Amino acid sequence: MIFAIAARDELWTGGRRIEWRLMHGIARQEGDQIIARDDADPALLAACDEAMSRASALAQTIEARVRVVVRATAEGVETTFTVTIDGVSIVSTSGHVRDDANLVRRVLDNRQPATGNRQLVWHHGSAAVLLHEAIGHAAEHGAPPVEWPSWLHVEAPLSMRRESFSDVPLLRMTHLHAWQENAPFAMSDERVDIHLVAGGGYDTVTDIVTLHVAVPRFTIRATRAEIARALRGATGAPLRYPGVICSREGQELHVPSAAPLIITDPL
Amino acid sequence: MTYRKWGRTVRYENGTIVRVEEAGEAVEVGGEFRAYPIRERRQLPDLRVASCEWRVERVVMSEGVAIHQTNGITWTEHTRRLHISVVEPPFRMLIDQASFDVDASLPELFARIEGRREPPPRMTLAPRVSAVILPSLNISLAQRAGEHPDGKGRPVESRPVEGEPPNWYRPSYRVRPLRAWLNLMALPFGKLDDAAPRAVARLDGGEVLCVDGDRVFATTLTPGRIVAAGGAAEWYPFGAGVWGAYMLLESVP
Repeated sequence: MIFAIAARDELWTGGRRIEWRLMHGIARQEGDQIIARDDADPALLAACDEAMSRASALAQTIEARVRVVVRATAEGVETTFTVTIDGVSIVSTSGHVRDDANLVRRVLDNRQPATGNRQLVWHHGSAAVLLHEAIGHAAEHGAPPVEWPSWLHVEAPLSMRRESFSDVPLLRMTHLHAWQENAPFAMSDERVDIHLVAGGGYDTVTDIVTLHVAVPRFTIRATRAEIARALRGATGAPLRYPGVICSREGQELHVPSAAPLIITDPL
Repeated sequence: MTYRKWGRTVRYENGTIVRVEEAGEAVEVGGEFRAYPIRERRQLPDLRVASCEWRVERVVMSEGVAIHQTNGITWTEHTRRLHISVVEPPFRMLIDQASFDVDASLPELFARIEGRREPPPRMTLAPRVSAVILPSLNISLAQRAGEHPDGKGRPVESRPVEGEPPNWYRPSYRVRPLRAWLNLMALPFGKLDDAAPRAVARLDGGEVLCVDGDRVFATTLTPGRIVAAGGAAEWYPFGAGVWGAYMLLESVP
């Protein structure tokens, strides 16, 4: 089995490029042995360069700290933009990065402090991150099943993925798509509106999901069963959440994620 | 200043053996950091493959050799890194060190863990525990001279930690070097207490594995006053390198 990759990343701030990297390599795997060298695949390198040329032009027009990563593999070319404004980051793609950066600015301009023990309303598809940890990562680790509400449907296919030629491929989510069918929906005036999530994790030993909410800033720690019981309802079509960079075993991969507006009890 | 690195590693990662060979160059041009692979190869020695027979949740054993070239000098560095996580639900013990020889008493002690207890008023930290929290402790620290130059090819000299670090840390050719204290160590002081409960290993979630007589339990590490620090005992690969030492501390209630 052969895996080849060419990747470029650039860091832009205030319209000026401050970091520039190229990485390429080929890994050959036989059984439990991988031999990896930083050889270049010319076709992947050309595809990577072409995509970075476009992405770079876009990145320098965004008033924020922007990291652009282009990865070219046999599966295709993936371009992601990590935009950081006032310490809050989102991950976006070429077609959405302007709108997503504006979303961050709007959300930061109107942020409210979190108030404890209130209904949680997950906006902008942010519930996808909760489900990413509670359903996606649990599936990666073969965790025992939990009973989720019948109105909630989640597609989170797994495949062997790796970040770089020197990494061991792992069973990882390719994307997470959640949708609702005939879900109840009753939004309280006494609520906490969750707009953006900073990151999270799922612990296989304790079955606990930890989620660091970025706006407003607080942390959730709950078991999968507690999360399943807390899900109260949802409305509308799935909303693309601006970004999930998923880190496992030190390998960071983009996992496109979407979920409808979801309501949970306090967590 | 141009920095070049030629490296070879053999890594045993949860049953898979990964052999990696790469070479790259990093430069800073007008404030922009650039890093990219280079074609030139250097002769590097073969490395042995390590493996782990323990029943663990996760194990990564990596052996590497690298030739570094910058600031007009060239040096060769050999490294070993070991990461192990072992689980006794609901606890996870984490072992990170720069050698493949693991203290055989650790898995035996961890298997005897009885549960959680309040932190003892005084606790002796083993070097592998103190190394993790050393940079955050309010005690006198020093940089210890290193065997190799820093990330910009400058000598790493022993000196107290005061003001701006004179040296640069470059964990990879792909990472922009940053100022850091290398080979950080505590300056010894006070008197250790052999009778105090001992924190022998790090657990997940800010806890430590504590041994008090026949009792083995998890407890939260809440460092208060540091009563004593012994001499540098073992080097650990945290940040730009830390020397662990035996330390006696009081817990914050």
